[in-house]
Amino acid sequence: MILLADRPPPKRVWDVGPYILVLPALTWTLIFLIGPLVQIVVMSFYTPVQLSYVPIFTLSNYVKAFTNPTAQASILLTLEYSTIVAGVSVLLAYPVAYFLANKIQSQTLKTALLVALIIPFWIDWTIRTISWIPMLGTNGVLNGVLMGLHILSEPSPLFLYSDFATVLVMIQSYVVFVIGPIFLALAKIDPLLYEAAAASGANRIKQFYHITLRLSLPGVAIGAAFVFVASMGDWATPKVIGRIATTAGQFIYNSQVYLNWPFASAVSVIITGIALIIVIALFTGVNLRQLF
Amino acid sequence: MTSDVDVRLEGVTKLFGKTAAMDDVSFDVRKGEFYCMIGPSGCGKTTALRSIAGLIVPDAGKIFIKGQDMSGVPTHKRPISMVFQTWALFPHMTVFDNVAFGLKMRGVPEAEMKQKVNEALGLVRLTGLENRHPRELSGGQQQRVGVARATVLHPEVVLLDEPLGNLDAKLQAQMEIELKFLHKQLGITFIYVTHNQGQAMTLADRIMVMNMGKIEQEGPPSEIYNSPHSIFVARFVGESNLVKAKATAAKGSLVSLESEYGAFDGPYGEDSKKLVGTSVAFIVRPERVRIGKDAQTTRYHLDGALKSTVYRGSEVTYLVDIRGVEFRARKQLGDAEYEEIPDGKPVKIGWNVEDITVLDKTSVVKGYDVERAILGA
Repeated sequence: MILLADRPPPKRVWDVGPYILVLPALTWTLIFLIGPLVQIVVMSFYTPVQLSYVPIFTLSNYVKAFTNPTAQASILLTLEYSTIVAGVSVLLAYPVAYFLANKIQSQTLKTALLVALIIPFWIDWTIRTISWIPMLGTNGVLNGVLMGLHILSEPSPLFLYSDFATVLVMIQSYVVFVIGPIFLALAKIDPLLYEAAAASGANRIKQFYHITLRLSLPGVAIGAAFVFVASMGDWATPKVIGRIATTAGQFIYNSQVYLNWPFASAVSVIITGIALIIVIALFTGVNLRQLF
Repeated sequence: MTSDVDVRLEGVTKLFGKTAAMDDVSFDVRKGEFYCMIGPSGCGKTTALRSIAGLIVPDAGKIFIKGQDMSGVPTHKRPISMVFQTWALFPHMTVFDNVAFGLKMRGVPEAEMKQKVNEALGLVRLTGLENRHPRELSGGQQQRVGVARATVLHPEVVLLDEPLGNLDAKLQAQMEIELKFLHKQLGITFIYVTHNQGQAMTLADRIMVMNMGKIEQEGPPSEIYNSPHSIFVARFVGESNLVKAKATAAKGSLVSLESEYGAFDGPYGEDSKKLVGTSVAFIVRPERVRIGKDAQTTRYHLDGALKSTVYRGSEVTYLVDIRGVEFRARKQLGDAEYEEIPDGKPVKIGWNVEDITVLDKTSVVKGYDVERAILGA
């Protein structure tokens, strides 16, 4: 490592190859992601008129978004769902990832179990989500079991078309995306570190806290960020299985149904901004470089 | 148990599958000693070290540290610390936090901790690098952090598992001197595992040579080098010219040896009679073999041809072919003149009675074929 300094710096040769290879993806991203995003941001500053808009700069859409109680409630509800879903997903995923990374010795079994994790995704999202209805409904499996065990005397209507249902189905959809990053972070930890910690006087709990947990935080952050962002943008799950309430996604959808594009855009920008701030906070809170 | 014993192993056995990594191993390490365990890979030295650390639980036998039976005592409660070959530094912590880790685990107050860490970093010459992360350090610096992390605790014993194995030769030599100095300054017992016998010679107060889970020999470096108990030890520690022979007669403490290179008398001891009629071997260390003009005055002479010369500035090694077998003669070049001998030229080598070390066994391991193990023949 000292010797690296003695070596002359490698000559940088302009090679177009890699740039040509990245061009299709770059074009696609520019046209179908960056372009529309810019369009939404620009639109959010336009002035809405009856069932249309005029390209005159205004901040009124933002003022409305921050003062309109329905808009506020929908943003808060979305944040609540996303926080709970991200939090519970991390709590559920961590033990699974830990088990896969540290307790399964056989590489074949490890691969098999990782593949098994994605089996639910072989089923279409709609089917997967609708399948919860007979599980959670008043005549559903869950109520049946709870009544059979005499925990409930009559079927509870709270399981379906409720916050519970929304959060449950979102967790079910996204938890695997937390298991992956945490598993990778855990699998990267040199087992000798535990021996070094033990030889320095750390018991199992302290080893977990100071070594395992700290070194897996980047994985936790990536997983949590993914689930958080996905939940914030999840428009369909609450609509299919949740209670009658307006999430941010539905609010935006409703606004554009009335052709108030500028207002819908402003709420979209706010939601994206909040997601961005939370992701940045998550990633700066942990040292992501540990993962590379 | 005497109070100057720091670590004691009593009949420790550890099986991995059907092979015994340690086979009824017993030894004592004295307080403040620099104790080196050496041997080829798989000989059980690392298993012994890890057993002392509590990272391996022996199948039989007992381990005592400072007279305390360590059975059932987990690693984190043993009065030890450890230095690893791959350093095993905590990548998410700074140099300071790495070194402070053990003190933190023991609940040492902040101010005292700071002072101790700075002291330990000073001893390994890392002052000023406290806020760096391990990945920002060179290999040598990382290993110094590893050493500081282990010594800052002032444990009863520091266990070092090939700590210099991942460094280049020049850095190894430098770190050897630093480790030796550090050991002297701290006065803590060091138990050091290496397969590098030269390193053990440099560092150790006492060396223990292991082979196939058993102790071949234990003693100060000079004793291991000059009076090896077996062919295995003679071949593992230092270079040697090995000659197979038959013991034909005993003359006091000398034994007469009959070999394909002629008859020799070798020193053995008062019980030399017991060797008569048996197959033995003897070694002559290269620096004891005289060559050219120097060989004219020795008691024994062998005629051969020079195969090649290895010139190292401070010393020269001549490889001499004697009836198809290579013998080595080494000469220190201080005041002595470097005698250049052309390859292929007939040359005489020789040695005296006291240059011979008679070996009556191959190894403590029964049926161990040292030739096959060492030469892969």
